[in-house]
Amino acid sequence: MVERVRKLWSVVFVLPLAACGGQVVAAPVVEQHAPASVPPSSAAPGTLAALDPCGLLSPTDRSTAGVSVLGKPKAIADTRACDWTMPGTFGVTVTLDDKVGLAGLDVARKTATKTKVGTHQAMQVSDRKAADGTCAVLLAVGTSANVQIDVSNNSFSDTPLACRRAGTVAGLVEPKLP
Amino acid sequence: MSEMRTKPPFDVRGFAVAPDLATDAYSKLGALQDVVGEMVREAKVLGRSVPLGGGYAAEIGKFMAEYGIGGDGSAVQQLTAFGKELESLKHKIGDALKKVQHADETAAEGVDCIGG
Repeated sequence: MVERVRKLWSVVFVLPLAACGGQVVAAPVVEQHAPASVPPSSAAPGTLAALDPCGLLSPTDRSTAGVSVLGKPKAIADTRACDWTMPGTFGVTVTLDDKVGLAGLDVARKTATKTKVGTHQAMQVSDRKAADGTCAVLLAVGTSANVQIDVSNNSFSDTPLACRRAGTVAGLVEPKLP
Repeated sequence: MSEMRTKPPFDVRGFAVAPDLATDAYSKLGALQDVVGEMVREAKVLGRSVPLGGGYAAEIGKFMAEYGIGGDGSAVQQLTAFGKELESLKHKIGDALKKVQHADETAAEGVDCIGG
């Protein structure tokens, strides 16, 4: 009963406020996107903190990668990420992790292959046996940061294609990393 | 003695769905695959991250690693299996739509136009 009264009061108070300009409703949406897309003002240059994950693929880069949609900023745990989903084709998520180095990531060894992208040490992760159409390229940024590029095909098949797509995106992102 | 039922009490040879509904279902399954794909990518990132420190952080790290990495029963494995099932369903709908289209075309070829 007390709960019901509280709900009624909240409706009585929130509705008029929302009608007077919509600020009550709009504010949380802005706050939700701000941490993932806008780098902190105190970000030191030359670190991942200074980068916007959605800004890592320019319109030209997106065209090269076969992506024609804008990125959606998001937070995955305490990391900043950006997701591009090409409807019915594939999706790619770029995650900036400035707390853990490449060596500190928990990766199943049998699925990982060491490689190099540009000047950065990297690791390609794909489970060929599972053939699930997913692949990741993990880039080392110094010893205490990494950038993860995850690709999944809409059909959940053709892992080699997913790896080619992840490799393409990694090649486009890598020159912008410190 | 009770009679053993070997068949369901309804005709399972097929049921009819309007082609436009089937097309709609096909595109909605594709959209669902997009969502599942995003969840898979997120689960993979979570599975790789191991929070620093012991105690609660270690417990969370263990949980994330267990459910994120592609072992048996992991979130990633379950989600990709679901995505594959959706793909299989899409193929079945696609095949059915092709058959309907083929049947329509065949029927149209057999129609004699009089006075046209």
